[in-house]
Order: sequence, then C-alpha cells, then structure tokens
Amino acid sequence: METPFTNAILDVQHSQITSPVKTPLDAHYAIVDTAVSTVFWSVLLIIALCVVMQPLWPIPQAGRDIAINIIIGISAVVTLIVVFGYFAEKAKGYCVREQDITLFKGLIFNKIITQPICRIQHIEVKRGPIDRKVGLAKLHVFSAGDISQTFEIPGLALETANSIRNEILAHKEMQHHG
Amino acid sequence: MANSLSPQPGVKTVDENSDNWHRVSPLAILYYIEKLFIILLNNLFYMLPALFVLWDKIQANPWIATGIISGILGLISFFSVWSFMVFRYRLSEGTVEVKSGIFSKKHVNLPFNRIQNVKIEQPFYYRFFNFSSMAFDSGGSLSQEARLIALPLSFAKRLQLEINEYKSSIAYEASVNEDNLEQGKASSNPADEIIENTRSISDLILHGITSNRIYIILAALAPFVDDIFSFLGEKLEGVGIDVQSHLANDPIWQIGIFAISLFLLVVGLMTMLSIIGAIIIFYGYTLSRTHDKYIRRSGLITKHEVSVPLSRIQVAVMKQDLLDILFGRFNLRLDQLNAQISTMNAGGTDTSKLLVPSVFAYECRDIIERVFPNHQLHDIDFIAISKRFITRYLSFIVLPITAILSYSSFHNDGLSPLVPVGVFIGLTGLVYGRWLRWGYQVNRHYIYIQKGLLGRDKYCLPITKIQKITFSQSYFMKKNQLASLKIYLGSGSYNIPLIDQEHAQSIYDYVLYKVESEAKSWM
Repeated sequence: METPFTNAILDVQHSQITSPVKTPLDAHYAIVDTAVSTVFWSVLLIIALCVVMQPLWPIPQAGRDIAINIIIGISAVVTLIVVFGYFAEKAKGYCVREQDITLFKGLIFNKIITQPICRIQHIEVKRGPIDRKVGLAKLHVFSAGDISQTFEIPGLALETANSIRNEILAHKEMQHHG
Repeated sequence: MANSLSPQPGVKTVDENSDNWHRVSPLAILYYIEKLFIILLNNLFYMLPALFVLWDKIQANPWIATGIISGILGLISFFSVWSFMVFRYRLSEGTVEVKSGIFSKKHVNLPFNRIQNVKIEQPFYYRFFNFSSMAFDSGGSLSQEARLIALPLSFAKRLQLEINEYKSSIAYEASVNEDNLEQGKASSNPADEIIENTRSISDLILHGITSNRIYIILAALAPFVDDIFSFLGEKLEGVGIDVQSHLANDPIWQIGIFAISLFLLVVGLMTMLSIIGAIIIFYGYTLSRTHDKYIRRSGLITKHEVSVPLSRIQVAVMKQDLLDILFGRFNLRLDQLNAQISTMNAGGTDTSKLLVPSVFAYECRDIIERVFPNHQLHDIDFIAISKRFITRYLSFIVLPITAILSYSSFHNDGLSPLVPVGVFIGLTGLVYGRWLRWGYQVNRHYIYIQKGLLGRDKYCLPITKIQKITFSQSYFMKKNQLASLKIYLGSGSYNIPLIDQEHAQSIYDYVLYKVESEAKSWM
C-alpha cells in the first residue's frame, strides 16, 4: 500500500506562488456579532422566564422549579456557545490573491478554504439591517457543485467588500465567462 | 426528414408555424395515468399496514372496497385527461416552452443552448404507437426541467438532432479562439455513433446478485428475530398452522432444517427480485459514443436514453460491493453536475445516471479513457492515510459508546457485560476496515481516492475541473503533522482525511496552481 511518492510538481512558476496569509476581519465584527446573538438569546430566555413566572395561569410550584432549572441550564450552555462564537468569529480571516480568494476559519478545526477566481459563477455583497447600521457587509461567492457549503466572508467593511468584489469582477477570467 | 439532417442552425425545419402553441397526442393521457398510478403506489406502501389490519372488514364488505377502488381509478383518469387538456408546448427561436399543470400552473422556457441533456424515453405503452416522451435537463435548478410528453418517435429524434446541432454550432463559434485539446475536430457528423459497451443478460444477473443488499438487511433484522417470529407465529396460527406445537414436538434437526430452508428462501427471493430489477432497468444495455458524447440506452419496459457530453463529466467512480470484489466486477459511474443528479433523483429514477453495471477493470479503463485521457484509476497504487484515523474514531466515537454501554450494564442486570465488549470489538473492526480501504494518490492531472468498508469505491478527480479546495487541520492534527483536504467538484465534495501535512500542502498548492494557471473549462 505504501508507495514512495515522487511527483515533480515544483517548477519555477509554482515556487513563485506565496501561500495565502490571513487578513483579520473588521475589528468591530466579532463584537457586533456576539452582541446580536447575546441579545437574541437573552430575549428568548426572558420570554421563557416570563411564561414560567406569569401569575395569570399559575404553574404548580414543583413544575416551576423544574422549568427554572431547565432555563438556568440552557442559559449556561448558551453562554458557552456565545463566548465560543465570539472567539470563533474573531479567528476568521480572509486573503485575496491575484488568482484566488481564501477564507480562514475555525477555532478547533482550522480550515483554509480557497476559491479560484476562474471558478466563481457570481458574487454578492449582502448587508442585513445590523450590517447597514454598523457599516459592515458580507461577501458571498458562488461556484458550481456542492451548494451546502457556501463561501461567505462576513464582517468586511463596506468599502473593502465592494473593492474585493470589483477586483474579482475585473479579473480577466471573470470577464472571459461574462 | 432529409432536410433536417443538413447541419443548419435553427429549428424552423422541425416546426413550420413556430409561433403557435401545440397540443401533444392524446396518448399523453396514458403518461399521466402512469405517473399518478406510481404516486398512488408509492403512497399505498405506507397504507399497507392499515390494509393488513382492515383486511377482514374489506373481505366482509367487498362492495365498499370496489367503490373506493373505482372512485380512485375514476379520479386518476379524470385528472389525467385534464392534465393532457392543459398541456401546451411551443418551439420557436431556439427555445422550448412548455405550459402545464392543473392547480399550480407551470411555464418553463428553456433556450436550446441551456439544455444540457436531451433524453428520449419510450414507456411500453408508447411503443405500440411508436411514440416517446422527451426530457430536457438544464444545468440549473429543478424547476427548469422541461418535458414534452407523447411525441412521435421520429419527431423526437429529429428534434434531438436539431438541438444538438444548434448547440454545437453555437459552441463551435464560442470555442474557436480556445485551443481545445480534447476535441481536436469540433463538429463532425453528430450521427456517427460507435457502440462502446453492451451488457449481456448474464452480466445483468450478476449485477442483480452483487448489487442486492439482502445480507445487510438481514443483519439489521437479526436483533428483532424474536419479535418477527412471534408475530409470524400468531398470523400462521390464524391460518391454522400451530407453530408452537411444532416447535415443542418436532425434533431439533427438523426445526433447524426448516429454519435454514426458510432463510435460504428469503435470501433467494430477495436475490430474484434484485435480478429482475436489474434486468428491467438495464435490459438491452448499450453505451455508445459520438465524438463528444456518451449515450446510454437501456430498459425492458420503459426504454431510457441518456446522453452526456464528455466535457460535462466531473468524476469517474469505480464502485465495488463486497460480492463485486469476489467476482472481480465494477460498477462504473460517470457523474455530472450535482444539480442534475438531484433532478434525476427527484424524478424517481436513478436510471438516468451514466452507469455501466458489472464491467471488468479493463472495460472501465477504456470507458474512462475517453473522458479522462491517461488516467490510471484501474491499476493505481494508493497511499494509505495516517493510522491516527483509527485512534480518532476509537477515542471520539467507539470509546464513548462503549463507556455508556458499560455504565448501563454495570447498573442494570438486564444488559449482559458481553454487549459492550462485543460492540467495542465490532466497531473497532469497522473502523479498522474503513482505514484499510482509505487511500489516495496524485499525479499531474488527476487525484485518486479510494474508500469503502465492505465494498470499495475508487474515484478519479480531474484536477483542472476542481471548483475549490479546503485544507483543514485541528490542534491535534497539527501536533502530529497531519492535515485533511476536501476537494469540491461540480458533482460534489470529496474528502482525503489525515494525510501528511506537507504532502497535503503541496497538493493544495498544486491544485490551485493548475486550476488557476490553465483555467480550463469544467463544463
């Protein structure tokens, strides 16, 4: 099974390629994202607490205790997820090279996803209401094949996102495909 | 007919007054009846338990059952006629337009140059009248599939030829300035088909035997043997056979022989079904090729025809089930775009894939050679992945399961301590077998992957068609200088887990270099 691998792939041109280097996302992004998820979960948990504690249709004391314990448990897990999410978002980064665009992500599993520009089918700059408020944007890149795995760079300053998009659209391979 | 063969773009020759909407032949009603019937049968499957329970009542009042059945049949015919009445199509200016649907109206507009596949099908009820139905696949979403039902076969064939010519004339103009190495001469006569492969009945029988998974089903049923037997026992008692008294009175050897013959009967029956299925789907199999296409034709009851342009094929897979390995046969699959595959699956038939059943390795070699020149999928030596694969699955999946089972068997008298031990040994065996099968290899043009557990699948991925690539590494992997690669093609994604970090890095760099520097078309 174990055969010696000989494969002359290192030619002159190849050695000129530099590996992608991580550029961090916008400094505000991880905080904004964490704030959004904190607010979302807090609202959800407060609603749950209100439902349990409301005096109109009182729940028996034993049931109330169990429900409150469950809510506390969920809060603990959610806190962990939110904290983890903060560091995970902070660890994300990107790199635009002449010929490709790379997304870095992962805290436990470090992933480097590289999308050659000549394979991009179309590209979108997306901004939700919160993104608009804080001047951020997401860059969504589409290629053929596996739809489940989307290539999306979040947390870019709007100007950065637009200039990356323009850079990609101006690439000769993109013009070639129309 | 004669003038349509001249290589002249446009469809005017097929359809003179092209701005009018046309109805198809009333034979389309048969098509709709079949379709509704299949839907009904699929749902009937879920109703079988209810039928089984209500059987006595139905027997008591046959009139109600007759009423229901004739009502259903009436509804089917009614909706079939209605569907036929609203179906319209139009061919104009190089597009196919289809209007259909009773409740949800559908209007599909498909330009010829977006059509990726033209499929002619001939269900048995069309064969007497020499009719056929045509399906057009576009590369895109599900809703963009058009179907013309009930056309005369000669008309369908002419239309197919027209579309292909129209497309190749456009493609030729587009690719004049591209140096296309694979297809030296762009468009020769599209009718020059050469038969590449045929499958005999004995091949199909072998395919039926090897592709049936009865032994897996039986293994899965094993834990429920008691329940099944007691259930059957009750049912048989109802018929007048007292299993209990037989079990109590007959000598052991007799019961044993009875059980073995029952087992063989089930296996034989399932194998027969599988063989019949294989023959129905693949009867009269031919794989032919033109200068730029593979065309697959087969089918006993409904004749299917799939034609796939060679340039659209994204990956070649040589699949072997356990029994295939014994017989030395392969099932060869050539996959296209993901979207198209799901379209076909949604249609309920995986007969539309470009599959060559039960072929030998040398036949695989020749067939793949046309698509991926100079490939070595059939006889390449694979490099093993790291043994850490075993450690990883043992520590993250097998050990936790074993721990939970041991804990519950320690606190629960019902669960024998042999269970966790058995589960541990079994799962470890599976993980080891999986590791044993994993392998990869790279050369200038292709990445090869082998994986499997009982069976063995070998993949050939052309590097120039890769869409994107992921290099991933966890903390522990980094410590052991390992990394995983995930390769995305138009047909899906393919993993190479836990290989040497530097090799992974060099493959990653090389793939990007190759894709980006050559920028070859992947379609």
